[in-house]
Amino acid sequence: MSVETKAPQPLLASRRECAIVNLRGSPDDAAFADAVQTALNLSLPGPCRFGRDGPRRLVWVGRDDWFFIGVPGSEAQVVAELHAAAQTTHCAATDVSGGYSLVTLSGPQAKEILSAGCPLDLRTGSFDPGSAAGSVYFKAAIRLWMLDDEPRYELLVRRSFEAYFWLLLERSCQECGLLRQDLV
Amino acid sequence: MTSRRLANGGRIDRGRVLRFEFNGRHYNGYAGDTLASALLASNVQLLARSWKYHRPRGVLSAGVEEPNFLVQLNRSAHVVPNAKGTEVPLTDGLAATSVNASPRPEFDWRSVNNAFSRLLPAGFYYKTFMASQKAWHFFEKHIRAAGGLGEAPTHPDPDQYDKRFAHCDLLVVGAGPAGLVAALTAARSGADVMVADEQVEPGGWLLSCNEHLNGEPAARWLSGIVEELRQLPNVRIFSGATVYGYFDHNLLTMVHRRTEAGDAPASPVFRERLYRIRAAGVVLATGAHERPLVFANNDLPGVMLAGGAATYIRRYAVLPGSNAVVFTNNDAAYDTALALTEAGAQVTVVDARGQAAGGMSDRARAAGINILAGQVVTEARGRRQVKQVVVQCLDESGQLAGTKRNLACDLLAVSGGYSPVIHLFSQSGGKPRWDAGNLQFVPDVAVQSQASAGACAGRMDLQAALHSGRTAALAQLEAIGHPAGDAAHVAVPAADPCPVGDIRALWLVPHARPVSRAPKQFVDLQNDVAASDLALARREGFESIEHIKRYTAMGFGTDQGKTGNINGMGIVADMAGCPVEQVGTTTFRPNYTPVTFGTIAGIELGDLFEPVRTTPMHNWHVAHGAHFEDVGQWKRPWYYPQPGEDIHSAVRRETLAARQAVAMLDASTLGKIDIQGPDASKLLNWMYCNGWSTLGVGKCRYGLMLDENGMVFDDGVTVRLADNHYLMHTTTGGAAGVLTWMERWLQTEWPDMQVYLTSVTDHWATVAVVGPESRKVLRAVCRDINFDDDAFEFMAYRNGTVSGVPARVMRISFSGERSYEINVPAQHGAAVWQAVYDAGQPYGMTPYGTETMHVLRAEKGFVIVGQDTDGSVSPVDLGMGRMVSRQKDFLGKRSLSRADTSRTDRKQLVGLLTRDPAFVAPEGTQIVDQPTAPVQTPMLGHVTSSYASPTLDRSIALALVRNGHQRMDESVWLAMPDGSTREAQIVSPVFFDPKQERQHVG
Repeated sequence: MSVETKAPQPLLASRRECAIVNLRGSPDDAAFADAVQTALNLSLPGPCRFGRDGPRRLVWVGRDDWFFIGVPGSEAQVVAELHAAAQTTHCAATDVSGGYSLVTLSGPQAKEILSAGCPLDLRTGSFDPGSAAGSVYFKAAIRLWMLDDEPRYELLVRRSFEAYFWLLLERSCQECGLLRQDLV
Repeated sequence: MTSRRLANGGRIDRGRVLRFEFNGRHYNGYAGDTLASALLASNVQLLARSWKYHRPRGVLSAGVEEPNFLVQLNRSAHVVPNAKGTEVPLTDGLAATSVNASPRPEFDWRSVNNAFSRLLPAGFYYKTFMASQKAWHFFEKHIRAAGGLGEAPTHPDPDQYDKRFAHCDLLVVGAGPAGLVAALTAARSGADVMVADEQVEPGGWLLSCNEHLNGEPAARWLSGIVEELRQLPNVRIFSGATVYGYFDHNLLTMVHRRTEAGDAPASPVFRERLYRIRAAGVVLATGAHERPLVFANNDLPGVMLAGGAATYIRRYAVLPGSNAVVFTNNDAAYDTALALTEAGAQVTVVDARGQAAGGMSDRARAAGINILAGQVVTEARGRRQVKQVVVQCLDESGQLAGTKRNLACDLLAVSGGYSPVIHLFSQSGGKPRWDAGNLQFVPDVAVQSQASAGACAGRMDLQAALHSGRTAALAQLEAIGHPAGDAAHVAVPAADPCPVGDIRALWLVPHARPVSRAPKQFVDLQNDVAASDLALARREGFESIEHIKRYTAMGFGTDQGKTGNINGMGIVADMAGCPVEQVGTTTFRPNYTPVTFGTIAGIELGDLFEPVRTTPMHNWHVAHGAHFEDVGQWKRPWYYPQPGEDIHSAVRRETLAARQAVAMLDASTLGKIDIQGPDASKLLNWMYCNGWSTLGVGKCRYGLMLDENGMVFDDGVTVRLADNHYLMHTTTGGAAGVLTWMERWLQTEWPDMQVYLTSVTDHWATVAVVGPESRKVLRAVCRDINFDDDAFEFMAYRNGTVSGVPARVMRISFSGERSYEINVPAQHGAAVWQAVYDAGQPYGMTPYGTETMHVLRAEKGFVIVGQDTDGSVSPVDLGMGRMVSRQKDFLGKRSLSRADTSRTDRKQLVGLLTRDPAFVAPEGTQIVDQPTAPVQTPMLGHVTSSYASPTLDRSIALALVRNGHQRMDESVWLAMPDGSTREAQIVSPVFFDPKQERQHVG
């Protein structure tokens, strides 16, 4: 395959605000896993994986660290339900909805444009639908996971880095074009 | 002007004529030409001047190893200095100038240097001009102007560049015969293969040889395999792509010059792209560079590498000379004799070997080419172009014998053997091995997952090279654990049999005169290093090749000695009477060839050089004319000037508003860490030097964090939200460091502690409402919190609703005034900020920035960690010794009792009042003990913070002063840059409101 022969299609990028709750608890604690299952109806994903249910996601972040992503406005209820389900189990649920926005990247150029600033190996077999990882886009920390083979990726970007992130994306897409959509 | 273009052949497109300009004159060439081939075709031989002596130079090679033909490419502001003319693909409208000739190569006034060249030996500049400092300062600017090569662009580069991270199973570097076979072999296994080749099209030597593969011309096999590779979805071929660095863990860096090769968009936005490639396995098939021979005047235009001459003939259809002498010590150069003969030139081969033996010389003999065996060219003659050569016999002991003979010629093609391109192998950590039979350094044991194939592995025979490509690919597939699959069935094409033959060691061709008196015998053409310079370096005691290199400059410059280094090592070895392997090589470092700064920078330039972090209220600040200050990566409003205001008047207005009415500050950038768990209080007790067990729920406390040395490294207010739930504030710049510091202790030392930390810096937007009228504003925007002082005392926090948004409101103060900090989730930050601003209008609400914040806190003597401290300041030094708990243990506690830390005369934080109240001492000003003192007077400390205080209507300063706490009311002097001193009095750092009454006002 010679490189870059096809006329590129624009990268599709959208931004949305979500309920985002950081979950901390021991992966070895069955009571914690049960509490999460009860409260969220999602089971805790293992290392470098995420689980989904409609628009809701549960993303692995570290060995005792997850992000729950849900519909905007549900964050307080999610925190309350988790605390109720966990009872005395040592865990933490923290609303960080304001701290991040969710970015979706899709289109044939998505991998290529991500690779401009993200050192992860995104090749098939290495990063597939269901995979999740923490990485960087240039100097902005991101959480990244792959939804499907379209390919479609979702990224969590820290709010204070958003302007930097979008400017990078815009400059990186100068050859293929960027279609940006802000979803409410 | 006669054309040297051949009527037929070559890989040029005679249907596409390209016009270009060289040194102000117009020429034509064809698509497929390089700048060098087009100029040779136009019979331009004198292309450059040498760096030091400004001797006339032509083109030596046809590739990346070129030392002579450097050009500056100019296309309005698109400037490329020091491009190699042999590598520059010809484009329509190309404009190039010689870099080292003023005004042009035909007439260069600095060529006067050549007349005095005997007076300008290695080390000349240092010996002569650095005799004294004064002399050097005088001479330096002239020498600097004369030295160097191209000229730096004077305008910003209008081109754009970008980067990619890439991963592959196998990276093949070099798409010559060995690399192509390796690539196809690996590709057939299904592995993910990247192929990088620096030329505009793949093929390597196959583009300029006359060999057959499977009975067909090599070019046909070449187009077949390239087409096959291009069709495979698991292969990415890059042309115009140089792999220039090989680092640990098989990380290789590659620059793709996307305007050169045909496989990128026609006019890409990004001119070059840098790839950082993580390859599971690597096959290096980087080929070999031909060495020149070292004899007198071997730098004359018309002296050319044999392989280069063959390339000009066969690939570019340019005949560089019609009456040629080929001077060689090996058999490969006979291929050039054949190419010249086929193109209709007269050829005589001068072969230093007693007997020409090998496949190529057999073919030449069969073609009736005249061979002078056992003879050498001792000297080339001509003024601006080689006209004749002096030929003499060389006996078996290496002595000249017999009589000298002159041969007329217009081209001297030389070959001193081939040096495998082991640069990347060596960068990867591998050590080269000297192959004494073939006189070349070859790769020894690979130290990373990597294999060398083809000429770069010393496989100089085409058939062996092709086989080694297959072998290397199979070995790498096995090494990376990739099943071979169909790879094992890849057939290697059959090449014409052609034994390599032998080579005669001939590092320096003897001359009738000794090396110091003979005409220059150049080793390194780019740096004008001659054999006599190497002899001089040795005479002056430089023995290591690394020292000789630096004394003579051999191997410096844009070509990094690709043609000259091994000859230089051979000459040094002969002079020292030791084998070449004992001399060794100089170090091969990245980059293999120069890489533009633009490529290294990519898009991370200007506004993208560093991340710019902004708060949710940023657009409001911009709309209200804020000037911004960089705090770490954050943009914080610095001050909000109104029309006609400068920073001083704006800060004065903002400060007085905070002291007398109400003002607001965007404090969202402060680091915030959410702490949850049964051991949360225990963790805080370890982290802070003051105690936390007694802090009630709903209360806030200021904490001071120390490092292991007992020195202050962060501070901030922490709030107890619930029994096991705290919110910690850190400094803006220290947020990430504090979280890392706490996680490190939790994960490595106290894994049993039950506590979780979550960064919530970006989640909360913080509006600080400051001033006597602040409570009225809060009451206007928040109905569900009782703001009475007995219900909501200082250092307390309440949950409530601020303009419809759930909020945490803390009554804390960094100004001394009554002050409330409203925290809301960031998505509501802008709206809440606006609501507070609107509600404050009746009271004169004034937004203020970091400068006013600094003034307000300095008037109160509040420190800023990192400004008033520098990592060597303890709580006691700050006058906060009473905060340090004696009841508990904490990080840094033991260090506080160390002898030096517990000294009572350390540098301590004090206030300073200058004698002249209008004088604001520059921050950083050194403090001394006497108004007049000898130049080297002891420094007592320095000014850490200094402002004009609008509240006190005079200047104030904070300073660290040795033994300052014991020197209250004494005078010290501030040393100014002009040598004068200003008097100042040591006072308490609390300049205003010492009894903490202001927070109750209003």
